[in-house]
Amino acid sequence: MELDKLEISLRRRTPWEAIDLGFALARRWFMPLWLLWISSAVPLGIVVFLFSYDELWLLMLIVWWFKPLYEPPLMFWLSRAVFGERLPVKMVLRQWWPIVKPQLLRNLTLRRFNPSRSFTLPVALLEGLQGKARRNRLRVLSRNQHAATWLSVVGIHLETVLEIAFMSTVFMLIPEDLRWASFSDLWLAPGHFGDWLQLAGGLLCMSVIAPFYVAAGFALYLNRRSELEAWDVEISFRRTGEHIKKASAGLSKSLVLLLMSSVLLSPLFSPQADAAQQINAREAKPLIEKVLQDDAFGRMEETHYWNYIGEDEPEPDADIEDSDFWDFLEGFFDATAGSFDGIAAIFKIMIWIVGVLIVAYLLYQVVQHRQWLLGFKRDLKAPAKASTVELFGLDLRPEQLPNDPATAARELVRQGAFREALSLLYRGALVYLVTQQHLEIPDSATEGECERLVKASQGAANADYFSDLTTHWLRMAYGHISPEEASVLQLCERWQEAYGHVSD
Amino acid sequence: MSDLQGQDQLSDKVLRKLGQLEKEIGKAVIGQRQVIRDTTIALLAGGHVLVEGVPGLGKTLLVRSLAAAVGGVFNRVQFTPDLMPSDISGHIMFDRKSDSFRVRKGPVFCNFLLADEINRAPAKTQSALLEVMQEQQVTIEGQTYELQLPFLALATQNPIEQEGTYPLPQAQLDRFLLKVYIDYPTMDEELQMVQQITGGSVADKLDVSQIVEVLKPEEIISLQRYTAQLDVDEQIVGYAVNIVRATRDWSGIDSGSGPRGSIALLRAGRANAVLSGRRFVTPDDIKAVAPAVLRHRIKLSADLEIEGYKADDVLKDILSNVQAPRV
Repeated sequence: MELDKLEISLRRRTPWEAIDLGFALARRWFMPLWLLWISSAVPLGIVVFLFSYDELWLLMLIVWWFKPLYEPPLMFWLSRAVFGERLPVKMVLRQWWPIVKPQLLRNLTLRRFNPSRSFTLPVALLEGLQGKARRNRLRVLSRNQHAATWLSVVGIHLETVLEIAFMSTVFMLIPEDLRWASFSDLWLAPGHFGDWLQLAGGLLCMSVIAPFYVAAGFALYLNRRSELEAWDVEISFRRTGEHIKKASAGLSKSLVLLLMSSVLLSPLFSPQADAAQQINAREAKPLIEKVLQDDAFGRMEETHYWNYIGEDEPEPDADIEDSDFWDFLEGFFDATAGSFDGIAAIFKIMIWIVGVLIVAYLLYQVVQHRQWLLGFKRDLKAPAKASTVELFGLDLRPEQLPNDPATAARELVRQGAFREALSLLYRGALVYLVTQQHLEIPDSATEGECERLVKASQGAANADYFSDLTTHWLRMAYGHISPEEASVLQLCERWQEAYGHVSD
Repeated sequence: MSDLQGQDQLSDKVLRKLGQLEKEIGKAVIGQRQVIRDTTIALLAGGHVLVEGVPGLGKTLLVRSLAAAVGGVFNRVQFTPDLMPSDISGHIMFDRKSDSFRVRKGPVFCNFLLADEINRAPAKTQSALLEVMQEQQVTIEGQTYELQLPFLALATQNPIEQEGTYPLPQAQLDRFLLKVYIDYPTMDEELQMVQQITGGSVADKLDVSQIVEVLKPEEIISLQRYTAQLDVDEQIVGYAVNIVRATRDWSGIDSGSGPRGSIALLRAGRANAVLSGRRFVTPDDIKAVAPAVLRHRIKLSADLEIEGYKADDVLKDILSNVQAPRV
């Protein structure tokens, strides 16, 4: 590795500064990086489209899933560019498969949801490590490195925001008179235009974010290696070495000249030469200062660093893996013991609140989908009793009905209470339909709507009977027209055939 | 009991004729069953109809057919920006022959008036017509003239080409019993219509010659009385009032319907019951006429209008949330 060719200034940086450096790199070389990404993604998109042009959601999913396929060329290009070798995009594309191939299957499956993907990618791609060696390497590199995960989190959010912004912009640019769908329909309703727009927007936003994501991951990687392997120190030493070499070359030349001149001119100037050799310390001082003013000397460098001045820690046990980390954690918690109790209590309460809200939400969903759940239970032949109900002011609970409504209604008819008899029959029929047939009747349903619901869901015989019953009931209830006794008795007879005992 | 039987007989006789009336109109106006039903409801309830639809859907034909089936006088007024109130109601002119002033009655003196594109005339002219609709009488130079009954005004509005129009204010819209949307016919209906109208016809003159007169204007008046006297259970009245009151507190409605909406709902509900062959009103009657009765009496909030919601969407929500009567 030719560190002296590095085009970036290496110094100790925090991970956040390293991400910033990565963003600066992405801005500087955005076009080749973007071209490399798009050159990988678009052909795949076209191939997938040819196979699943009807299922655009599948196309979108696949294009999104295969992100690890498009990122290695960007990383490869960056790894050369930071050392001053800016490869043409075409050259990288010619080597596309060898660059992408290493550990591709794992990248697309096991490692697809690795939150620090761009940070770990160089280990496999540039260092060529795999298996245990890769794991060990990553263990060292990833220690205390959480910024890579945050990079992914922020990247996802930025991508989402960009896509929403893209869709909103396109939507707003459509003249109001020509809008055939609302904004939500554009996202949710099935329709090719909305899907295509999402696909185009998704692809565009991914391609914009990807160079920044990869470059920031690479910068994090470089920063970590520089930290571990003291690249900055090495580079400083190398530069110092070069300076010394140059300085010594200059000194040897001047020595040769000096020797030659002294040989040639010694007869003439020998007393002065003697005088020079005899120069004392006081006289030498201005001379030394003059020499130090030369460009080769006199550079001041000020470095600030934190130095631990407490007592030395005992030697960590080498057998315990990650002991530094655990020691650090232990020390940290000892030092801050009690400081976070208040915050912890708040978080505990918040977690409880979130837990209760989740349970409440789940219960709400169960209540909302009770019809579906009841249907599911019915399929399993489990008894399903609805606890409903009141409709048109009629109490429809089975226990409010006599065991045999038809007989009870017949008795009421004999007493001349036609209204009560019809009410009982109508109520009994509704109880049967709601509890046994699981017919969903809204509160706002009128008698006519109930009749239509029954017609749509029941057999012709039941529907005819219910229709007759409704007609009699309507005449009685709203027209105050008393029916003939025979017709009500006939309704009682037929009730038995249609619905039987409700309480059974 | 004999009164009840007599009423039943009257009802049966009348209902048969009413059924025939809708069929007769349907001979000329192909499809548009709901529009025909709503117009007949307005006729029975003694109300007026505001029809909204693009031109060329048969609005004139509908009124002309109605006039032919009832044997009434039909007039049509095309509303324009320069139309004056006297052009509708009439005026006094000096007759040189008789050397005296005589009254020239306007087109409003008829049984069925088609006020085409009512929103193209200025407010003064609109008010003149709406006043006539309400009072059923016209005052010309201090002299009051009663209109010929039955009187049904069918005003039309074009939902497109709104430039230079004078939209009816809410207070005046309230005077229409129903607002009806007339939509494009279905494929089959249009085919039938085109064949029927072009067969043997030279120009595109409206042909109502095949319509038989089934009811006389006097019978319509007795039918209107019969409809108005129809008994309505208290629960039904409560249901109508509940629906109208719900429009006042409903989210998304800036101003709901006033009590005139409840009255109109019951009047139209009664007429619907009569047309359905019943002597009593059911909740279904009220629910069936509610959209046409209320859609022009509510004003949606700006939010809903911007989102493209129509009054019918909100009314549908209201009707599916107001509890049906508890008997």
